[in-house]
Amino acid sequence: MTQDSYKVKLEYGVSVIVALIGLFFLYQASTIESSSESVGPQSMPTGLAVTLIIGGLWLAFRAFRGKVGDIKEGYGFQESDLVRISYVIGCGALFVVAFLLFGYFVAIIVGYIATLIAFGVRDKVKMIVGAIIMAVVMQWIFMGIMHLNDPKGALIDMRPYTNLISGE
Amino acid sequence: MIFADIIGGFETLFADPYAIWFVILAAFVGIVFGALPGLTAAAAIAMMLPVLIVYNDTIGGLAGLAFLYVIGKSGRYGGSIAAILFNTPGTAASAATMQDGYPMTQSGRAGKALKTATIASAFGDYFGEIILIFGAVTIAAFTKQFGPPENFAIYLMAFVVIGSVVSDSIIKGIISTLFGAVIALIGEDTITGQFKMTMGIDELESGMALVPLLIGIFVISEVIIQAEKVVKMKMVDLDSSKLDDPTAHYFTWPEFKRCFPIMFRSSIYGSLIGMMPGLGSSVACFVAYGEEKRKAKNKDKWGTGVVEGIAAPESANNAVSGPSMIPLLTLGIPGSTIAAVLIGMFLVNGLQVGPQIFATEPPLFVSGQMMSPREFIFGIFAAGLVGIAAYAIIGYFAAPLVGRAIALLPTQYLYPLIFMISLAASYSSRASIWDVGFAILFGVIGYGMRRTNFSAAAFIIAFVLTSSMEEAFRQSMIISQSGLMVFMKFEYMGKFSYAPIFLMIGAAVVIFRAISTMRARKAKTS
Repeated sequence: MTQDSYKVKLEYGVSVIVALIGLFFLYQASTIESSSESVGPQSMPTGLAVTLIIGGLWLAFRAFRGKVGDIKEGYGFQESDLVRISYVIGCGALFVVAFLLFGYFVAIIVGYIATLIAFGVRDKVKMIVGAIIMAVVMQWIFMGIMHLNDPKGALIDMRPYTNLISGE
Repeated sequence: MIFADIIGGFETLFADPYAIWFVILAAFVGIVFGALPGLTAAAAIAMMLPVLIVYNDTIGGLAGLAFLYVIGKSGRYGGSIAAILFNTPGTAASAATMQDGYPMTQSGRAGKALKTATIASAFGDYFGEIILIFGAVTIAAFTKQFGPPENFAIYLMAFVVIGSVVSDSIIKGIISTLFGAVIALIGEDTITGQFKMTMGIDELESGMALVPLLIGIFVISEVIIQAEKVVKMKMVDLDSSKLDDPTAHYFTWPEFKRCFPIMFRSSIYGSLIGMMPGLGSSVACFVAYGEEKRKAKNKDKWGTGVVEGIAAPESANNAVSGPSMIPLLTLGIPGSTIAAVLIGMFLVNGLQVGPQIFATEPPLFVSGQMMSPREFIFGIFAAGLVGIAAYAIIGYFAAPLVGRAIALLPTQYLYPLIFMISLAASYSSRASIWDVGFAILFGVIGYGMRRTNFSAAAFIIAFVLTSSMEEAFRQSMIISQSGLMVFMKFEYMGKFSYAPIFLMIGAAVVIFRAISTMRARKAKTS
């Protein structure tokens, strides 16, 4: 596939996504209760969503005419490493799951180790020691000093131990 | 009057010990983040904003705002370190600096290049700050008479102008603003109190928070990009021999005299560009570099390592900093991402940005002192002036050291650390795990936007502006007796309206951009 045809195809894809986002928000805007005002809370979301759909169609029209410009450095997903991208997103998801199941402290340890693995670190000692130090520091800063809510995990409540760090 | 206000600003600043320390800290943090390839001042701000908000009452509003304001300045300067030493722009604003900066490093004159960048950046920044102080006060006196129709027209003009100039593609820039605007409308309606587009998620009833959005768009998307290319153990490869004795390569007095007119003219370009919402340092640095190269007698030497080639872009990109605050302080429109974030911090301190910020009444209780909004804002200006001196001193003596330290950083440990801090910062904005999820989601969206030439800056600016824009629109409709025509008429409620003028300016900018894009395309084809 030539670079030009790649860009045209990608621009078609982008136009579909933009139009779909517009449609999604148009639907969301339709769920807002209408008011007695001539310009109520529905007006602007509806207007913006419709304009997004038009924007998507415009992009598709541009792609159809082949007027999409040159490919510049960093454009497109040809050089993207989808496996690594999904690793990073997976690490974020793992952080959220660990947070819900085990609480903040464990989530930091699990999330950091997973992210280090995603970035190619294989030294187990550095990973574990680094993650524990980081979790202690974060627990102290965010829970101890900033007094953020530290909810208990659904499976294990680590707070009796982590409170020793945060001083709660 | 203004000179008395400036002196008063210094008094306000120096009466607050936290503020002074935070200014110096911001100068250092900004340099480091700016010098880290891929990370920007906006990323640093995104990660630190929740901490500053939580600690606002403890450290005082002046310290928090001064910190954010100075980080924007020092971050721009920090980018030049990476550009000069690693041939990688730390920020987009330093892209033009590479052209002469890196050849100087290769020829063993890294010290001279870094010192030139420091002096030029500080020169440009002071120039821009003076324009800001005198310009904003004068313009605000005029814009404070505006009512809802003018405010809406200004917001609309800003959307269109920002959307059309920030991206290579006008349509993609405008779509970026529309996307940011529609996301901003999620949550409680400001007038009726109804919940809008919350998708049944309770956490969205108070709207989408700025912090997870910023973190996703600026930090997590960058972590994803770095994850793709992490094959090396080091951030960059730096030949230490090039830094052997940087102190032996001063920016000499004859060189300063030679560069002075260049820095002066480039600061003018930078200031003018900075005043226009959406056009930022990345545009200013190339305009100044191009213009000065065109005027130079030794233009054939530009690109091979001449100090003028560093002085021009560096003074221009830092001169943007101050004037980019003019639209914010006089019209309530943020000209840059950092200015957009500042709106949030002003609101935390009970200040609505716009011309009323220069009012002398009513007094506020900020940083343990009673002061007027005007005194407070001049305290911020003073922080900017001190911050420039702070980053210039740190940079002049420590830039090679910062470069060396960054060259040693192992990316495999650094980016996971940044990723975890980002997730923790997202959580801390409202103590909601949903915000962590939103940050990850917007990280993916931000990555997609970067890969397909959409503008993250336009997205964030629109997100911040939209609720005020909607309010102005609906207030205009309430006072209007002719529907949408209130924006087209030169008169409403018995007074002159500037709304049509702003709309015409917006339309003119789009038409001008469209024509110049078409001409460029035609020229390329032929």
